[in-house]
Amino acid sequence: MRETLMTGSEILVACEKVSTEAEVTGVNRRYKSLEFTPVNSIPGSGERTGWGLRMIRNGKIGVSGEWGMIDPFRLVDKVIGSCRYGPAALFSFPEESPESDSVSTGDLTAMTHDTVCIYLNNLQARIREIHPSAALSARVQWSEDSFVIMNSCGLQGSYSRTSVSTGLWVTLPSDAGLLQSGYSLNTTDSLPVMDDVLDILLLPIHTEGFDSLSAVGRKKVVFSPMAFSLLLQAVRAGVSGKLLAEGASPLAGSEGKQVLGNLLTIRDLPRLNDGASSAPFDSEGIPTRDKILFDDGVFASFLHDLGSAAECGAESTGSSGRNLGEHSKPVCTNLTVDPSADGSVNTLEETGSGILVTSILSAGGGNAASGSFTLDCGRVYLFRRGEILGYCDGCVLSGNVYDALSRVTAIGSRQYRSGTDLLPFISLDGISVR
Amino acid sequence: MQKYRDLAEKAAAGSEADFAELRLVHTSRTTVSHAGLTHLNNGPIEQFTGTARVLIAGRWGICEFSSPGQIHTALDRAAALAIHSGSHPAPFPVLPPACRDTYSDDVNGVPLADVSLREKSFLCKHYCELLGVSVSTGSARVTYDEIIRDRVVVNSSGTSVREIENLGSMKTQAVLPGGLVASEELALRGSFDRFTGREKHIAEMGSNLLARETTTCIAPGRIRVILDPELTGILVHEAFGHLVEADFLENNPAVAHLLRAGSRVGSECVNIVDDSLQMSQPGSMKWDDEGTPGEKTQLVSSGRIVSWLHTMGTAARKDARPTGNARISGPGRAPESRMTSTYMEPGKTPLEKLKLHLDDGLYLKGFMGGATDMDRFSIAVQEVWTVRNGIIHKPVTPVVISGRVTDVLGLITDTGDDLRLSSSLSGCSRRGSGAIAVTYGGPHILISEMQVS
Repeated sequence: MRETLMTGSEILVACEKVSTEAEVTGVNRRYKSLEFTPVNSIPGSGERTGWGLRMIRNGKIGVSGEWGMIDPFRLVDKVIGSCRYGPAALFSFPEESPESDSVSTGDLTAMTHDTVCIYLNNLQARIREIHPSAALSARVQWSEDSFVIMNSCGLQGSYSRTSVSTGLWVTLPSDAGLLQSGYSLNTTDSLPVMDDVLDILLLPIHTEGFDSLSAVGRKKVVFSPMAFSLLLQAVRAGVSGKLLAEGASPLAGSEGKQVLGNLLTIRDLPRLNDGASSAPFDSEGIPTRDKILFDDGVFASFLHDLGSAAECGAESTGSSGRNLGEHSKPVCTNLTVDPSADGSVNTLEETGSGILVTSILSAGGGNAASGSFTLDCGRVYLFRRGEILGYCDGCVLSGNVYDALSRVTAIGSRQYRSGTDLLPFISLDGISVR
Repeated sequence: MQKYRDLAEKAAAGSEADFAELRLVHTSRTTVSHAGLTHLNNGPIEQFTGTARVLIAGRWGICEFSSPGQIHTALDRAAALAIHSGSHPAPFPVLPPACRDTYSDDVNGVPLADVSLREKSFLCKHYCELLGVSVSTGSARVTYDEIIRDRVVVNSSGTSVREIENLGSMKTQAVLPGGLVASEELALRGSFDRFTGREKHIAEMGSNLLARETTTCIAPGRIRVILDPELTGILVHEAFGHLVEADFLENNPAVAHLLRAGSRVGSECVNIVDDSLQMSQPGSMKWDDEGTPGEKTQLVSSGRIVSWLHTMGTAARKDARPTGNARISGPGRAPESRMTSTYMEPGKTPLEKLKLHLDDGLYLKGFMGGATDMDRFSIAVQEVWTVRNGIIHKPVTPVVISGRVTDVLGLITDTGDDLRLSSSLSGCSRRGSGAIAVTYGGPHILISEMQVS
């Protein structure tokens, strides 16, 4: 860490005479990985370090970054060029250093290539108990990440965290065609619970010989946590203060109003104990805090970074996020939806009849600004009285996400991980299906 | 990069492993986007990465490093991982003849890196304003993305190749208040010149979007259609190409059996190739990420499977030869069998004649999004026109086409004479791998029956 701070200081010194204010961010990742297929597994390891520089010069903001070999003066040179065409600087960098701590006291010593390989072999065996011809491919990466920020106004902060990123894919030849399922999730210091993984991973794969049925019209639709996560993309964009500042947020003027169904409480939790996106401060050095975005369907508030806060006359909510060398924007971290206190896990029983969406192939026709969505679902399952009866291929769902989420029929009683989100199953009424 | 290449050559030659390979990549990426009054530029962001891959007693180990000074340490770490790996031993990879060469894009015109950020920013703003005016109440966005990549692959069998790529892309998008979208990406390899002078095209894109505004929709069903070259390419890439990637097939023996050489997957007029050597396209590679020379690989001939896409590793396991399709989606990753420039070869029928053959049906143009779920695919179409008696009639609202690949390829009854290639800088990602640049295309094709929703 000492070496990292010295490099950061060198970059700041190089900026002194050419900028009004400057800010340096540094990232270091040390990881191990395993690529797993039925025919082989390849262990890997690595380290990468990168630096990002953001500078205010002549009233404009410029950014750039370098991964690997760093040359402070080359980096400064590039940012000077970027400042010429950057956005106007409507704010100053913060002066007060955030609390620096370790977000997760995660311990990765128990995770070795052997333990991960054993876990994946066991998972494959469990899957093959149910589907003997299924093939599992996976990539697991576990890492220790360190983050540093310092600026010319005196702010300095750092933290480290551990993360485990797991991507799993199952393919299964069947009479109904070649079936596939994928599941990606992030944890902090251990592999995901195998039973939970099987719940979600095998959900799109049914080989019971169901009939091919038609599903057209307005239907009750149950979204799995993975599918729900994609549906929430428009909400993630909608709560962004950047969209509000651009005058394009569909939630403008809705603070304190009922926007979604009253069964829905959505939170952004950057302080979540085992959240893979948890951090004590955001990418501008502002302390993070847990926030309710929708409280029983009532829209609470927008997420802001320093830029959007300045444009909207608000305070930063510690929600800045960015890739190294890019401009900041307000982002959600660990997005969670509260599960229901009672009821079933997958909501099929409460829903009665409808279709179950287990995965979404693509969301090509969506518009974050309006909340409209068009989701190609591939194969969906039709159910009646909570029992799956058949499937339909090539299903497309469309509508407006805020309208759809205002008609919540039921919410599942437990949360599953999807990426860094924690989401239950959700049942929505009146979704257009074609 | 040359001095790092020399270092890597010495390190690989001195390795005691059964096989050692080093990949060094320096990338500079710049993004400029303009939408409404908002202008944003990210970068240039520079990245140096290295990956050491070692084979010992049939087991692989990989180590990523971020400075040339770590080459030897990375080789040692990769060797240690290989030695302790519990994997099944893999056969020794099929190595192409050792090659030592360098290729740099032969840029006729102004290289991307020589154009200032100011000019790129101005061009995005200019096109965005032009498109904004042409769609009046709609909104417009123009994004320019540029990747300058210097890639070195060195191995212990004497191969040492270096390829310098200039990849650029300009995405143009307009949205009407009702949600109707026009979107296109011009991606190329080489000079900046093709991004300039597009005013007429941009204005036409806007006016075409306005002309397509309609509330008329068609009932879902199985319909006769003509696909434009972009959609043909998407169909070939998404619905077929991913299925002949050998690393997928070796994990799925039942599918491999169905797609063995000689199997019929399409009608007689279906001929599909993967051509790494389309050097003006971003999907091209003079050498792949294992140093194997790129080539034109016939995948389907007269509707029957000819070959799969191979890396050195899959070729060894399948008793085949590498086809120059080993691609990595990021540092520290093992090479995968991936497509480069994949397209359907053209036939002899002009478009006007295809429309007459269609008689009544739909003319589908432009790609909006889509994916493949193994042998099923789902593609959102941007532009849909009804055809009556072989003449374009009127626009209808966008649709999604779907189906199973072998069904659809078998229903292609005629192919046009107008091959056109499209590309995307980050157009292909699969099963958790990062996005890579690909090229896809084909002629207009006539399909006798397609599920349209």
